Amino acid sequence: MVPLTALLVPRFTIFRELHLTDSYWPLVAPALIGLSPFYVLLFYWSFRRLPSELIEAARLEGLSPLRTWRRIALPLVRPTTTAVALLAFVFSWGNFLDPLIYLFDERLFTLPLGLKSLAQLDRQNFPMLLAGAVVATLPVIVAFIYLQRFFLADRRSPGLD
Amino acid sequence: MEALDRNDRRHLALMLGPYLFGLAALVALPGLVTFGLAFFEYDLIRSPRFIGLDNFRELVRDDIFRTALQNSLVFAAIAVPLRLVAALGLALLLHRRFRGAAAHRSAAVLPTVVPDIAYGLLWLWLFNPLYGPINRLLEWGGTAQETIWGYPSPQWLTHPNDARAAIIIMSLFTIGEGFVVLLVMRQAIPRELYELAEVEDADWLFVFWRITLPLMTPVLLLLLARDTILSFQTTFVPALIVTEGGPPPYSTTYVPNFVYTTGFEYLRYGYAAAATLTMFVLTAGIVFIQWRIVRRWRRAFVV
Amino acid sequence: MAGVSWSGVRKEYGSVAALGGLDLEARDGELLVVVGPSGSGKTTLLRVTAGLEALTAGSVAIGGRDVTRMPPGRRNVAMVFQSYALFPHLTAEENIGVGLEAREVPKAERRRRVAEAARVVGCESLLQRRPRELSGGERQRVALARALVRDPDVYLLDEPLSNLDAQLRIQMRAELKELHRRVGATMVYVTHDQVEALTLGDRLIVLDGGELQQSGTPDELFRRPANRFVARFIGSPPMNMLPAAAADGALQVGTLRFPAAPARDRPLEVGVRPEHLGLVADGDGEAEVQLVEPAGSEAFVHVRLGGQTVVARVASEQRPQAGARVRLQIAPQHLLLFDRDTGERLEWKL
Repeated sequence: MVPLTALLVPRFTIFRELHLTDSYWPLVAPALIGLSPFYVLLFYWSFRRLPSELIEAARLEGLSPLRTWRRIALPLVRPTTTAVALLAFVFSWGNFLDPLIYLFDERLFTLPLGLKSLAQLDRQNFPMLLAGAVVATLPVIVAFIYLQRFFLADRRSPGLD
Repeated sequence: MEALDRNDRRHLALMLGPYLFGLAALVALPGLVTFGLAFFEYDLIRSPRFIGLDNFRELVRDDIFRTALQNSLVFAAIAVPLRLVAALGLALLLHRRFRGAAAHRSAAVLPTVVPDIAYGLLWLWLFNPLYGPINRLLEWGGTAQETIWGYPSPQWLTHPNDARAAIIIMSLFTIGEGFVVLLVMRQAIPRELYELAEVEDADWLFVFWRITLPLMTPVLLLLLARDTILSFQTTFVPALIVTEGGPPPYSTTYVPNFVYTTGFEYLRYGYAAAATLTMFVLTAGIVFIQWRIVRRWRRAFVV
Repeated sequence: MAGVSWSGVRKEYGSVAALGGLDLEARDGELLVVVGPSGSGKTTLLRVTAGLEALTAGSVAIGGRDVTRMPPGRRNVAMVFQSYALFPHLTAEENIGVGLEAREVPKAERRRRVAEAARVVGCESLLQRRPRELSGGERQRVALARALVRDPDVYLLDEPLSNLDAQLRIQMRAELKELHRRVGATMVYVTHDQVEALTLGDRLIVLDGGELQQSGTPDELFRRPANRFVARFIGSPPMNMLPAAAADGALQVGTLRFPAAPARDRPLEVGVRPEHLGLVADGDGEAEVQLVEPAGSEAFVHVRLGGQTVVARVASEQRPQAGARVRLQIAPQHLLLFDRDTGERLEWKL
């Protein structure tokens, strides 16, 4: 769990050497590591909680590790998948730092950068700023409200504490 | 553990491949580069020049860096425990089944889910000393610029300490991640333990101290470490948008802001890397100390 | 030929030996029951055979092939878990066919074979349901069908009946035996219930503490147990054990005397099954009835003799009252003689 700020500068230099700055590549690349080790951890916990007999039965039936993951394990952790999908969307949608340092061409600017320009334009125009904030936030809230039932609601049987 | 043959091993290697590649390229490599870059001077135009420990010597003398470091450490010391307590409190309040539980929990998580900028802009408005709702509320019943208790209302964005307090207050609401994790953990504790306590007529303090807290300590420790590490980052956007580095001089400039400015505005990448390295070592040290303290504390009441 | 043979099989967890150097075999086509108390290593033996655990030492061969290094999926075995291990998100049909799906069997053939297996175990009507919509017995059938459909060399069953209620258990026991007869494949069946073992097995293997106690037919184990453990484990209620001594060429068991003692001179013990222990009402009898448990057509009478309690099984009409004094009667041919120290059964001639 190395803090992102520690990697900010060197990642930039690496992408710069690869001539990939001012493109969306540096913004998409972290998907390779699941965006955050925390998400990996969430999946790890969820998979650990699956009864080991299920996995054993799958292996016995001749399922390869990949097939076991795809056909048996993954469908059984849907709440976690939903949660991570939502968290990943929230993170990417609101990602301010990465577009800030990697994007220079205004045509490539993402929403957070647009809001920043608004703020630079007129810091005291609250109605406008908040309107921008609402536009930026609405999709996330909609997604959240729709998906939260899959992982925030109770998963215990009725009558439990 | 079961026997694995060559075929299976190949499958596993393929599945792990992309992740390991990403780890190497996006984490390990940059980590090493930071380590190395800190001893160089590099501004993207001229080729890097080795300068040994000069960056670090300069850091030590740099007032702005020292201020930034102090700000970040103070923030971590105050905000992190408060955030954990808030997350734990909310999780313990909202873990039971009751009507509207989902709505309440959503409300607890919502601030975290809002994009940083939008969040920052919102507080920019809220904290405005003259027109912002917070001060308007505080001044209700009092005279202009004074609260009902006679004290001057906080000049959020123009006084150094008030500004720092503002940043801390902003961080108290974005506890969604910790809240969700603690919620799940609390729900995972077997009900029988609490039923037993009830039968034994234990009071709520006993139940919390002897049942809930010990069982949640591992997760709390994890969250503590993670939040400490994160606290050195999360101050970036608020400080940039709301206080813009703070009422002079640099009262809300934090280490990430310092790194960003040094690296991307002044183009002194080597110097920024040195600052990053310092912060990293510091964070690791703090987390290590936390771990030791909690471990010793846990042994005190392991049954 | 698809029997199973275990050679020098050892499984250790740290310093604890769950299985200690076993040499066993399951003959092709037989229903071998591995029975023993919990912790005896029977489940470990099964898991090692399936490939879910690696051996510390020794080897396992199926159908003559050494499978010790093979992963579970390649051994051509099927396992029915105690909890059935049905995939909750798949229908019964998908559950049964999952192994075929992994082997890329074409869909049409898959459906055919799944339907066939379902028919054999009697769950064709349940194919579209999910496990949570099935009762315990139904889930077990689906698990069996999943094993059947791949036509494996060996079937491994881990206490498949222990999660069912008593009535269902008896019914499924018979169905399993019938299934084995029809399919004719080698089955290794693990249970802690000795009644199940006796009724189902072609041959039995008794394990205790990872060690082999005895292997043989149910009859052999019942009538001629190799040691005290097997004698007391097989048969319910357990065999009564009474201290005995050889004196003057006769065997003395309490106040009973039997001619012809063994030639050995060591501490002895005799075992007699509850059904072979006769009770005669006798006011001067040395034994007192402590407890009478009526059980339908028979009754179990707990009798206190000396410092010990023994159990007799009598016909319900002949059961005595608690507190009555009785005399014990044992026909010598039903006595089994054991070495009190080693537990080994000794032969003796009347």
